[in-house]
Amino acid sequence: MITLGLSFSVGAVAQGDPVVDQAALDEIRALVPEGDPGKYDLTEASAEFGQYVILFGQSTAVADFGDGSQLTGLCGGFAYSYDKNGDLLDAAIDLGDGDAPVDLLEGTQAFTSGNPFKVDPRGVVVYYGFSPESGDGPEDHRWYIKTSGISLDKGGDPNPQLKNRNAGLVDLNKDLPVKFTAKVKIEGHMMSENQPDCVGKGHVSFEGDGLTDPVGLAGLALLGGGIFGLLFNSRPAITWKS
Amino acid sequence: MTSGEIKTTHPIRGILWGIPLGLGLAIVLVVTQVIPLELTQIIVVLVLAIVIGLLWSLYGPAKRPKGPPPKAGLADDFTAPDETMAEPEDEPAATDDWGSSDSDGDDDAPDDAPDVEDEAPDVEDDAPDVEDDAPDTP
Repeated sequence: MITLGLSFSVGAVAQGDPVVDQAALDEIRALVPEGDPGKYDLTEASAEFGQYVILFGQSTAVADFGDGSQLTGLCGGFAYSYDKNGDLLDAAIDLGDGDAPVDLLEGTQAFTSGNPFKVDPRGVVVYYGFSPESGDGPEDHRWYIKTSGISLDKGGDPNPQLKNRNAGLVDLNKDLPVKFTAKVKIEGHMMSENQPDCVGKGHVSFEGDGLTDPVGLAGLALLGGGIFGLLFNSRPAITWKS
Repeated sequence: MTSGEIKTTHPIRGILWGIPLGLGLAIVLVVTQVIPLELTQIIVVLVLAIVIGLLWSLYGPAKRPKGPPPKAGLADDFTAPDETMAEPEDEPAATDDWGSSDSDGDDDAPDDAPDVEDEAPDVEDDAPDVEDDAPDTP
């Protein structure tokens, strides 16, 4: 009953139609490396992004359906996610045009509650990002990522050379000490001295081992303890009147 | 519930056990991706579980007493046995070589217990000394 009552927020979320036709989508999929490419070279990543822009036809506009995703500002880029075996799990791109990010494998809106960006807590995420695509980069920028108002990570850099792009690899297996499965709504914000703010919102699904992860086992233990206590320690009791 | 029975409830226990129930349920729902990892939804699950625990402790099926009801007047007729035990008079306490009355060395006898040997009349001393009291005969 509780499950049914609470699932209202995640159910019935449309993902929208693909923003490109099937032929273009096949070409886009072919560009995404099937195996973990390791740390991306910046020039190579930038050229790859240019190919995606051509295939998408400069537009990734999708109809907003509410609890979706967004990335506003001059920033954009792409991200590939690989599982612990190095196999491709998910891929998404944002062209930096103010439209929502797009799933590179399905052609629909990415980072939505119905189509979250999937990552493996024991895997890696390869990314390429820019702000803006051409011209000076953000000067003295600061950024943060948070969920439910709680800060997950933050940072910043004076960026005296005004670099406007970066490529790299996030090793989740090393960065996440506790492995878990969960769907998380994440907000990101980047501020700088010379650019409008870059604001992103979206959903990320951590695809761990479910209930067999330490977090899942702890949840089962708490649940079992609570049921046991309610059944055997807090039931009403009938006693004889003295 | 018949007359003579009292239903006792444990609402505080219900609330307290509802907390681990709610936390565990929230984690299981998050891990199975039924709900997202979001503070508001986790709090909703926790509060729901606490309410369920409270309601269960108030209106759940009551445990029946295991034994039969006590009979009326039974307590008045019942007299507890005297725990003090009189020491047999004809059997003297066993003594060991060290003078203790217990073989394990513990002196359980009270200190004010009468010393039988001391209170026994000294027959020899109290007996009239016939020789001394006899009148001297010239």
